Amino acid sequence: MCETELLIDYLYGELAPDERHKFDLHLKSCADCRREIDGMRATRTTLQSWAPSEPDLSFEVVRAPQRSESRKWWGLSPAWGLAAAMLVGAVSAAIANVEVTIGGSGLTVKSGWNRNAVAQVQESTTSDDAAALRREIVALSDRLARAEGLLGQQDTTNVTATDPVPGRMTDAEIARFVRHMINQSEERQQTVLARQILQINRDQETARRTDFDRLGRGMVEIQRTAVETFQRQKAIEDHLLRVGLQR
Amino acid sequence: MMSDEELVARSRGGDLDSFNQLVLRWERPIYALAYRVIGREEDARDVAQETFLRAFRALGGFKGQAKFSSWLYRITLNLCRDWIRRERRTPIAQAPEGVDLVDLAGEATPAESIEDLVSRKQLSEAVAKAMALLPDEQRTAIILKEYHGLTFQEIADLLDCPLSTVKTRLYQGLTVLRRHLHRADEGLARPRPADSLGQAIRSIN
Repeated sequence: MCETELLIDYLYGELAPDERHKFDLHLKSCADCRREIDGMRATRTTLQSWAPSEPDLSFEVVRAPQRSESRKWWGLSPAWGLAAAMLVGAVSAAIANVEVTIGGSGLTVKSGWNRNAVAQVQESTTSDDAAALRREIVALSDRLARAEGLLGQQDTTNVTATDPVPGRMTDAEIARFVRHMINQSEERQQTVLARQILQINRDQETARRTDFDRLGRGMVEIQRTAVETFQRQKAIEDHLLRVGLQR
Repeated sequence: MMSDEELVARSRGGDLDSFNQLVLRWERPIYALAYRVIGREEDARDVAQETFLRAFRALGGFKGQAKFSSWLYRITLNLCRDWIRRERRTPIAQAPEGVDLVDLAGEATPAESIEDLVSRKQLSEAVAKAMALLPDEQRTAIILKEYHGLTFQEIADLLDCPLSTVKTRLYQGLTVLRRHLHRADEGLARPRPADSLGQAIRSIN
């Protein structure tokens, strides 16, 4: 064992009794080693004056409720999560129904709100919107039925009379009606979508305001605590000054 | 009172209350270790908190091969090392925060005068500054020995180094500290009340 290790072992009381005894004897005759040990002991005593600050710890491990991870991360009210989920839903529906066609008029990109997306969007609309839509569809169906009836009558009456090519006008008219219905349906869906987006924006805005309010209250609390701390320090400073003046 | 090992066994069985008893028992030493190693109160608090979270998550892998406290110390020291690397600084560049005089006043004995308090505060700050001058490995060895009472072997296991290296680090660290603190001691040997009071007021301001 080298001298350094021996010295450290002795200093921390980890020498075997017989070795310790030998070292004690050595110290009696060696002033250098004595000085070294005394100096180290004094340093060790001084080290004990370093006290760490004592903040309020009170750690506790708690079981996280479901989906608490994302809540904790964002620190926001559930409305945000709901709004975001809804927003993601709307966007994914739009993406799922995008239709890309290459035709005579070039490249066409169209989101097919009038197809499978309809069911998803209708599910999340309010009952008023759904009822209005249903009424609209019923009305359009009636109009189509009436038109078909009218055209059927025309067909029967004109087969042998005025129109030499009976089916041509009928087809054009049906196509016009169908196009009109599709257009109306698309407009309606777009209105519903716009309304939904507006609602999501409103929800987000409300949630954001709530969070800002909470932050504001937190800031006021922090300020209050800071003022209290300052006052406490001021009181101590005053006390010290008074003591200083008395002496 | 249940031993750490008993509480660990219960915690491993899913008893959260038992684990929280371990947290309560060890949060102060773990915080103190982190505080003395990295020297910043807020970050030390985060390190302590993260230590317990990691310990809780890794409890299944803790087979009792070491003492629970040694296992916690290892997690804390790893987190401190990550912190020092991440922050690209060590406390060497910045003296750790000293002890607040208000805190000291709270725990002062009735016989202790303001001069004693001031002197204690100055000494505490002097030690913190001197410790900050040490290389990481010497500082860690001294902290584990002086403030946590670990044996040389426990320190060697924690720091993954031979026993002789631990003793050398302690010796070198103490030698540097002795030099710096001796100077500080001379300054503080017999503080004149007016001087220490003036310094205290300046430090508060």
